[in-house]
Amino acid sequence: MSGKPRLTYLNGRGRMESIRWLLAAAGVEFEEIFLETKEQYEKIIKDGSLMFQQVPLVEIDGMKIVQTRAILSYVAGKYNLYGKDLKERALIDMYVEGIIDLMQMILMFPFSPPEAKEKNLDSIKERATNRYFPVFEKVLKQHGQDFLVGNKFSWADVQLIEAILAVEEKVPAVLSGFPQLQAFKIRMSNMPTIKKFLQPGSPRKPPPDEHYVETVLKIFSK
Amino acid sequence: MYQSCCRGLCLPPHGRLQAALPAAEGGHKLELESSAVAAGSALCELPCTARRLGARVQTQPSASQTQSPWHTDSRVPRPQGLRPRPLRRPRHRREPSAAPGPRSLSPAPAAVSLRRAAAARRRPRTGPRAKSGFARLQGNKKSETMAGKPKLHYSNGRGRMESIRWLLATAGVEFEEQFIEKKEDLEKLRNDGYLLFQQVPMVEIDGMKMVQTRAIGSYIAAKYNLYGKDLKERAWIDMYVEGTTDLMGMIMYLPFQAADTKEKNLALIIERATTRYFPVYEKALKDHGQDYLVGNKLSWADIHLLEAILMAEECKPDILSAFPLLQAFKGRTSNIPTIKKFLQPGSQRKPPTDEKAVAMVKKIYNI
Repeated sequence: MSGKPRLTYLNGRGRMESIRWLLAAAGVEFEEIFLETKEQYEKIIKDGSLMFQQVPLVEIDGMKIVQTRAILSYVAGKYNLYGKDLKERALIDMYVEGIIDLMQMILMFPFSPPEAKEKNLDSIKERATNRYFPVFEKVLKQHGQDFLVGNKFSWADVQLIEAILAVEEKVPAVLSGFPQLQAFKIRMSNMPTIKKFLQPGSPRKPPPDEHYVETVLKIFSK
Repeated sequence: MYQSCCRGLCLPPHGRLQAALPAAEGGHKLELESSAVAAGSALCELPCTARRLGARVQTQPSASQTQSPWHTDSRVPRPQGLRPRPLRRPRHRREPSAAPGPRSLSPAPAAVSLRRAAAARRRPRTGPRAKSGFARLQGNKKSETMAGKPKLHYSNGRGRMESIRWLLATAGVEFEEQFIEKKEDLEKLRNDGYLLFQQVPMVEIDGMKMVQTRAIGSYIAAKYNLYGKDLKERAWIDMYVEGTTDLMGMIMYLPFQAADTKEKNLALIIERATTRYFPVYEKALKDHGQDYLVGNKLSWADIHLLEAILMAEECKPDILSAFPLLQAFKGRTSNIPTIKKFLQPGSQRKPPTDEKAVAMVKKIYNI
């Protein structure tokens, strides 16, 4: 046992990517096990590793934690990325939940039928530009600080930089009306742990392609 | 401010508060650690005997409350000019003909009021509590009642708000509800800038307008000590809650589906409940043999599980037939006084979503 957290998921972004981001931002090295076949998946279900028969799974501190939010909350709490008190935690939770809703649209996008893809892309662009990014633009403008909550780097900042980059992959000019977010993106990208994660060779996974979609359908469909 | 005050029961500070949720079946005492003062302020609307007598009570600063200048916590530096005094000050007794005496005697009222006025001018006068000294001392009680009950904004139905109603009710917290009845109500909330992401649920609590169901649930659970004692217990509670959230999410959408999809999804719900979710909780209870899922103490996980069980039973009345420990759990937890009260007619618990409710929701949210 190396002592490092161990992640079990497919070799792709999916729901595990936010967890990779958070661990990397916290400077935590981790190991990964990639599910490639249905048999592998069925095996870990049989041996009782997956509480609800689902991945992501993160083995950390003697626990087998499942459920993305439970994992993220634990990692954030452990590495002091969750604010200094209950109210800051509430703000971080609100921001993170909003961003996760946006990320959910991106997560599901590769699985939309071809005829719905354009409409879904428009929805992503519309939600990002009208509902989510304006909130964070305003937050940064109002307090004028470098980070979203409590003038300190937190899970909310990691989640936001991940979302910005993910949306930009689909809608390249999406930040054009958001100067604060542009500056935020540069600042975050230059933080040493994040900078390292953004370089080739890091555990960061590429955008989902057809092969990834096929693997998901192969492993998880009945 | 009183750390340990709950519903008029004044307890020694730094003590553990017994039984806002007294013994459930099986004789286990539930210890509800008193938390932030704000917990007391939400629950306690009765003037405390101790406070009336002007006693100084050591408190710990509450996480959910900003520092107040009249905090009696000795760790908090007091601003200049404010010293603790009992609410009922001794009257100045003055001989009508007496000239002002030596400094050791009570000064003449005129001099006293001049000095007080000067002190008042020196005091920082900012924020909503910038009142005169006496009024500010009284303001302790006022600000508690002014902080008021949480206010829930949602349509008049279960939806995503129901889990929050369950949590607040179990914690013994009274709350108000403002129902969205038509599209214009939602538009108004949006136009007034009340909804961070233009969505409800929204809960006004402790000066915040909180949105996002999980964020609200997490805040309330933590505030009322329903979130375990440490990070690891919290992780377990989160896992369990996420599971029941997934199950209840499926049930929540059922009334909105077309007849044929509904039948298929109902079968899926029953299958998931009996093969994916309930076995997990049955096993958890079996493995540790305790009354509650995590840490031998009532938590958000238990409340959420009970809610999920009752919702699943509405889908299939005998759905717990293979789960004896969950049946016992259901019986025990339903008898917790605050939960028992919530389960009775006339509480703020909402009925299952019927066709009329579906029509209303579709109209309001443009589905």
